[in-house]
Amino acid sequence: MKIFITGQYITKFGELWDRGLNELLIEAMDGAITSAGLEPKDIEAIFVANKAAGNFEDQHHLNAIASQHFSHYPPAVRVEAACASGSLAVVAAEQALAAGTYKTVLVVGVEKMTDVSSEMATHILSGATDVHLEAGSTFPALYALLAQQHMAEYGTTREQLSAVAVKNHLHALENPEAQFHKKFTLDQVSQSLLVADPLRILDCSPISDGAAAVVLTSHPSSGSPQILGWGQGQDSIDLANRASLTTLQATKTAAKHAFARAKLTPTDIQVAEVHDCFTIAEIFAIEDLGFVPKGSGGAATLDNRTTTSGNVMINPSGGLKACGHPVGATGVKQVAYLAKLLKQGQYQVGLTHNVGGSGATAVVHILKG
Amino acid sequence: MQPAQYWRQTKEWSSWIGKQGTVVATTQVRVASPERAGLTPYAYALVEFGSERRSFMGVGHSELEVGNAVECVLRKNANSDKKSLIEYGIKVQKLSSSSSA
Repeated sequence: MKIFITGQYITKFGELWDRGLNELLIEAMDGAITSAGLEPKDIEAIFVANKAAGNFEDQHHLNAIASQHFSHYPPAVRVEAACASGSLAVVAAEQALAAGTYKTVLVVGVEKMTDVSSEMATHILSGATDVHLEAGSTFPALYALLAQQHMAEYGTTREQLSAVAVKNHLHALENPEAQFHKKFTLDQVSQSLLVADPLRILDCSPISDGAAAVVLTSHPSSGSPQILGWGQGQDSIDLANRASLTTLQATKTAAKHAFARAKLTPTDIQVAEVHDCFTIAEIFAIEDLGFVPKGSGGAATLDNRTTTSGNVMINPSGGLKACGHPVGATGVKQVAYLAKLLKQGQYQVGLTHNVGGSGATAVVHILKG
Repeated sequence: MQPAQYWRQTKEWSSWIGKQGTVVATTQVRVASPERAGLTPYAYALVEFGSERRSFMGVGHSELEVGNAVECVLRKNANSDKKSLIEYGIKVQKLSSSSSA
């Protein structure tokens, strides 16, 4: 069975104090349906991705919130897998289509994070760790441990981490929906405020509001991007139980399944939206996805091999780092943004990579235009 | 933390207090969640105890380095006001004879 992306929509990402959770959700859903040239009644089911509206906004039961926007109240389900909620909702939708349960479905991801303090947001996000085994940790702290291991084993440098942030902020200048439209220098990133050594504030993706949606269909749809393959990987949620601290095994597992389903290899990928919640996370991603040899991700980035002039364009949207990271929306936004690029004909084959927590869950999608 | 959650976690304290291990990876947390904001900066370390690994906060504002020998101790691990639980938990403390690898 072939699955096509016939519609996509991404709201503005950022600190949207004048936009509520429901408004963002509705804007994304309506935008994707319009983009697909459909009517709301054509949507047979909705898959809603969200990490923590219950904590951020005291709002649970988001599947019903989404469904009630439609006069025919389509069945809806909420999917939660921390920062990988969005791409896992896409997987759930694909499985429903593949099973023949539905022919046309809507996937929407949303998060409203900026109504609480940054400290409270840090606390809520840390719920994606094992709160018992990793008490006292924060996500910057966990990725800092991974960064230190990568630096010790492969010689990854402070400058190479900064190069990820500089590149993604440059890319975001071309994305009107991005949270940030500001250039940074290597020195500005390298000298920004320490959050958890060696990670600094400009190594971190921001706290964001936003939503994104895609319409998937199993009806033949010439001219629409097709989902060639997907894969999901899991690993220990607790870093202490990982076999390696310089590889995210969940990413490797997800990529292996996605490439096998698509019958492609990493050299076939022209563009990728990868999970750069921290600068070190993008270095892990491009290595574990097979775009560059293990240990060379930092050097590849500093040498401009992951931007316009390189072999594979990484994070043209600006990534989580500069486009923003409304966690439940991110995985859907990656697929929506890639679908838009493929429709425009800029690229023919692309990949998305979405991670939950510090690497316990990973999802990879491969699309062709 | 809710009292029942707190009570449940106390059940394993006795098995950790006094255990000695070696720091495998460590960072200094400088921005923390509200209940630990008053404790920053604090170390957060992945420690190897023989064949087992576990991560713990470091005591006080002490800095740890990879290779440090550490011991598990019981310490206050969150801010509290007059009406809430005073939370304690297992942390690691650098052994006085320890030097970095």
